[in-house]
Amino acid sequence: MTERILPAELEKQRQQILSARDASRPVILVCGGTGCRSQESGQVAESFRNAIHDQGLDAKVELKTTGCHGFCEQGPLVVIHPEKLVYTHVKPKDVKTIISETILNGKVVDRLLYTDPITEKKIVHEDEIPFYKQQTRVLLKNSGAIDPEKIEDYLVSGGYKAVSKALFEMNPDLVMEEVKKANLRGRGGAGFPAAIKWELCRKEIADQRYIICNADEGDPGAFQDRGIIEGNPHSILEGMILGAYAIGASKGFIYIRHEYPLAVNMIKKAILQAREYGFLGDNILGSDFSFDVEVQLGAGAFVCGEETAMMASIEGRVGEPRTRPPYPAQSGLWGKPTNINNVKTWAWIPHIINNGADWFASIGNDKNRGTMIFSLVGKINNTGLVEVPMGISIRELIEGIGGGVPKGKKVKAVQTGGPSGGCIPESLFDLPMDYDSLRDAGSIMGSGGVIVMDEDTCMVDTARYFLEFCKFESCGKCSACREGVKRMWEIVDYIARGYGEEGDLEVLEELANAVKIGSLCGLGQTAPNPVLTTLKYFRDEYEAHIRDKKCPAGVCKALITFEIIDPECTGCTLCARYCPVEAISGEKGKLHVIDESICIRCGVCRDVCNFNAVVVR
Amino acid sequence: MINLTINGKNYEVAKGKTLLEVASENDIYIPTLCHHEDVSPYGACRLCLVESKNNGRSAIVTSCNTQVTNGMVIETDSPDVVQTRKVMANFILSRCPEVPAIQRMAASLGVEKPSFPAEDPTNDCILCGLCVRACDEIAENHVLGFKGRAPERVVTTAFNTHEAICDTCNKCVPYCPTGAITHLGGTEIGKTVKAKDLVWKRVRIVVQYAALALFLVLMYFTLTAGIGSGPGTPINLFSRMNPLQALTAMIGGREFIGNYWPALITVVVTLLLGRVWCAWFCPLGAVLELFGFKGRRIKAQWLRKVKYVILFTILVMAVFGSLAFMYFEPITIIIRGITTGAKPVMEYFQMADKKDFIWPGFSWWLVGVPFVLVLLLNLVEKRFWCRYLCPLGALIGLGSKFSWVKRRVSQMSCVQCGECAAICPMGAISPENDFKSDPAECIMCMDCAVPCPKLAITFEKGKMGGWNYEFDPGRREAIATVATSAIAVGLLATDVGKVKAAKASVMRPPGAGEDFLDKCIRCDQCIEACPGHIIQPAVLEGGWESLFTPIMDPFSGRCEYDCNLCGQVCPSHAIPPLNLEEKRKAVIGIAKVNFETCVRCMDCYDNCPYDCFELVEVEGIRGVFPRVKDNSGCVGCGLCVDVCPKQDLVAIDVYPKDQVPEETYAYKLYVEE
Repeated sequence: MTERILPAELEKQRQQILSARDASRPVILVCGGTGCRSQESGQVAESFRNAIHDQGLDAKVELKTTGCHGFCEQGPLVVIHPEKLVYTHVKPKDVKTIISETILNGKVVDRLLYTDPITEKKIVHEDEIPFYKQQTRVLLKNSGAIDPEKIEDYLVSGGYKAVSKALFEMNPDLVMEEVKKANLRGRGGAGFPAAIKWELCRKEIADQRYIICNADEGDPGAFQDRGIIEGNPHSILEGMILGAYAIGASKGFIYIRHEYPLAVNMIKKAILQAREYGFLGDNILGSDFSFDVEVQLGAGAFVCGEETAMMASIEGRVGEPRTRPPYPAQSGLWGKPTNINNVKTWAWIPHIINNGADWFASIGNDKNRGTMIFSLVGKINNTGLVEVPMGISIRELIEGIGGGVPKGKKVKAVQTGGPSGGCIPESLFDLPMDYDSLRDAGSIMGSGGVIVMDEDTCMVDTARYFLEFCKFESCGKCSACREGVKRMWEIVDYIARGYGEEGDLEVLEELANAVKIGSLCGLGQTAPNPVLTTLKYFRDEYEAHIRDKKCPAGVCKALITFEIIDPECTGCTLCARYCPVEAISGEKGKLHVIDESICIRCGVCRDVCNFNAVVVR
Repeated sequence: MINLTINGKNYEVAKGKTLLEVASENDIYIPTLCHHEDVSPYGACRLCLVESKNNGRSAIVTSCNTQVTNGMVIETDSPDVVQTRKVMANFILSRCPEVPAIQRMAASLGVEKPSFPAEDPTNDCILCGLCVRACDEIAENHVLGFKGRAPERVVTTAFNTHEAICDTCNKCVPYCPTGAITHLGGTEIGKTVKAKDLVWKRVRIVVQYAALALFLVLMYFTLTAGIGSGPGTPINLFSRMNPLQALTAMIGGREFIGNYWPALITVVVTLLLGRVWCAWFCPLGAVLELFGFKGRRIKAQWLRKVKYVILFTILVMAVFGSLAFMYFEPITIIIRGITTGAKPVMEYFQMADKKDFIWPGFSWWLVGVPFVLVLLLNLVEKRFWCRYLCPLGALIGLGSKFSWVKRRVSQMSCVQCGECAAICPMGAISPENDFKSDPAECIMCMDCAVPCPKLAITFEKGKMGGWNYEFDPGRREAIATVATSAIAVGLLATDVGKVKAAKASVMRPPGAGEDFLDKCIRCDQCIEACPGHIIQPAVLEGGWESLFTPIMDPFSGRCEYDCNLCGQVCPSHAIPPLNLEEKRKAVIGIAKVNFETCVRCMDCYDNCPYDCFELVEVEGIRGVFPRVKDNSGCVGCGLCVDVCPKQDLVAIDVYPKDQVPEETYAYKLYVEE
């Protein structure tokens, strides 16, 4: 048995690492989140590395590729510590300027700074940017600050302290008690109290228990879990160790989509490092508690996010849900008691153990404590990951942190919870973002995806999109979901294509309600939510499609026509040149005309027109 | 023990049971398509939904996989449950609109028509997973599984390839609720079993048409007098194998006719294998199988009992010594049909000078009417005759009720798709009676086993015996039999006066005795065989009772001196199988010359094989006439009539031997000077 590493010794280790580092030494943090990587942040980091090496600054400057900073809209992001200077939209060609100006001369490169869209002022420091200022970043705090590939960075930020504390200063009951007191609700979507689930699992008599981290994030437009895993993988491992300790599990699985190669890479590296440091494996930190984690890749089926389907997938069977009970806590992986929690739930545990349940309870509202990470996407200015206390109003989230809708358009609705969630209209934007309020409004919290829709979004088309997603992702086991979602999609598709008839909406409602109560698993039970909520809040749009054969938002191609209006049209011929089917005719300098019989309603003419002369009727 | 409430009633049940089990034990109906007690619950069809009001919370759960717990309050038909089930049934029906089992299930839940168009109406699989579970849990072969997600989800084997184990296992087949399992691509489930069935069906068809061919060959030989000398020849095999002929001829003739020993084979085969005669051997059946509507078209299925009435009437008549109704017997019908049609046609083609040919008269063709009628009735329904009328079928059918091998429909497998009923040439399969069949109606043709998607139809050895089938003759048929027999016997009672005289006025083939009519089974094969054409079918010459019996008509032909075929072909020995010597001596009648019309050509005198003629001078008429000697040894072979040029004036005729008219003219023997 190795020597026991008490919290004090861990602290000592931390100090050792810290003392080896020069606190005043500038650190260049290049965002390596997927959002920024897609905008060539990899090349930016490479350029920095080369430039530092070429100029012989290796000892003077430290370069780190971090996880997601959250402000994906402005990527690639480069943050320079210790000043926390933020440069946005950094291109590889900007690297030389940053090194020569900022690093060597301490000057700020103005043109790379973030401009507040309201005040139009340049903002230098990270914590001054409204996007960050209004957030309560706990889980994401370290995501942009540490190198996810280095366990030392995590240790320096106070990592694994909670493990040591729990192992040597607490016992499993106390850990459980603390989580229970905190009333941490599962971040996977349903909001079931984590501690109650843990207790159920521990209560079962078994020789082996399992825990699973559900990182099979498949909602369109959601990337919170990915952000955490890519930015701070050790926080999840730490949470899982604590959970396993409380539950009495000796083996954990992280079920992660193989479509997240970066996240997979990060978590695998983190596991290797954690084993090396003795945080995973036999006799963790010298205690007699043993626990190890294995990564299990999902093959991309959305339904595998459902816990019974996920367990089937881990066991090597087809990822199909089964009826509960028996709940996983009673009979899970290979028939053993199993506890499944979302990435964010696990990531919360170390914070709760470190800071106590009371601290946790101070964030958020009474029944919905702590923070929640939302991925803001859609028609919103500040696309990205935001972490806010539970219970913040939708308006605050969209108009405050999100910065409102671009191009001065009016916001119409938000869709929360992915394909399982519903659309909440602007009139209900004062609703707090918490489990219960969203459920009452017909939507769900889900894992935190928030899709913002402006006035140019057709709600029928939205419902059709989500139904199509669910239709494709339904495992097909139960007829309610397999046939029902398909039939709902057919009806909505017909409506969107202008074939809707009176009575369709009643049939649609009937099907939606039947599928909702008749489906086997959560996928089917929630798949009608987008339909039911859009029917509830935007019924007039459906009716316009059916009765007037018009799409008010101008989206549904079968129901719209494009028209070039006078006098806006200058006869520049741009639209005619871009039209893929040559439906636009007109002499230079004169009003152009679209031939309806040829037009395929692709909208290119409207997009290219510089004079807003192309309108949708 | 666990206490729970279902639909307001309290139940105490053992622990570990599911709601569905408890409900079915207590006769509470919960519909389901994907559940079977042999395999683990799956919860895919969503029809077995019930409302659970446990702990004050109401939830819709599937009863198949929800275990009972203490204090459960269950509603099996709350409005939510009924509505959701209805929608689910609609979904499933819309997916597979043509599966009867689904149609029935949907109809029972209030869905008469699918609301949505089917993607592939030929697809019968509802993805219930019963086959997959049967493969995993019962067969333990783990061959079947699902492939793909919702839009492309199908049941198949790994890589969609044929697995050898499927050739012999087939354990999944009975569990499929729709019959889709044997249609699955790639798996080839049930193919071997079906091939086996097909072999038997092919054997049956080969045997059936071989029998028909044999029958036609025998008919050809009969027509051409090819073989047939000596007793025990197979020329009348089909008659002799016929138990109805055997029975009636022996009852009617009040004697044991050993010639009918082959009928014993039929009896034994029937008791072993059922009504195989009809589908494997009967030549009429083979002909009727060639065309007509399969399945049932006539609603009044009680008509099937008519054949029993006919059978019993024939038997009752036989007891009274009359076989008149034997012209309702299938073998006689087809032989008569061939006789009427083939004999003249064949002779026409054999005739060197077609101008000499004389087509037979109206009464000849009458003999073929029953055969034509049977063919016409076949247009209504295939084997109409066999289903509703055939007395032989009725007799064999009665035996089949006790047969060792019978057609069985595994009710566990049957999905009531109706394929078998549609293909059954006998319409023997009753859709309203779980697609079972009365063994008396099933002719063991095995056609139905081939289309059955569930391999549910087998022809199994079983216990002998049995009654209480669908079309058992009952009291009504007994009454009808009594009534028709009474009428027939009443008609027999008219056998006096003129009728009796008429009966006696006709001559019968050589050797026929007093009991000829009691034994003649009206097959008319003797007529067919007779090369001299003297044997002709009676219409009403000998009274109604003699209809279609053979009579000797010297004006049609003559009894060939060197022929004894009629005796050889007669199965019931109504015409005894005489050898040539005996036959030559057998008296048919006596010839007598009419001096008033005789033209004294002396052809009769010259041709008589028995040398019966003498030359006489008749008082008052000039010239020398031929005259049949008294006690000449004339047997009435009719040759003299046949050669007479003055047949139209009846210059010579043959009379029954005790009805020869008195000589009215005085004559004296002519002595050549």
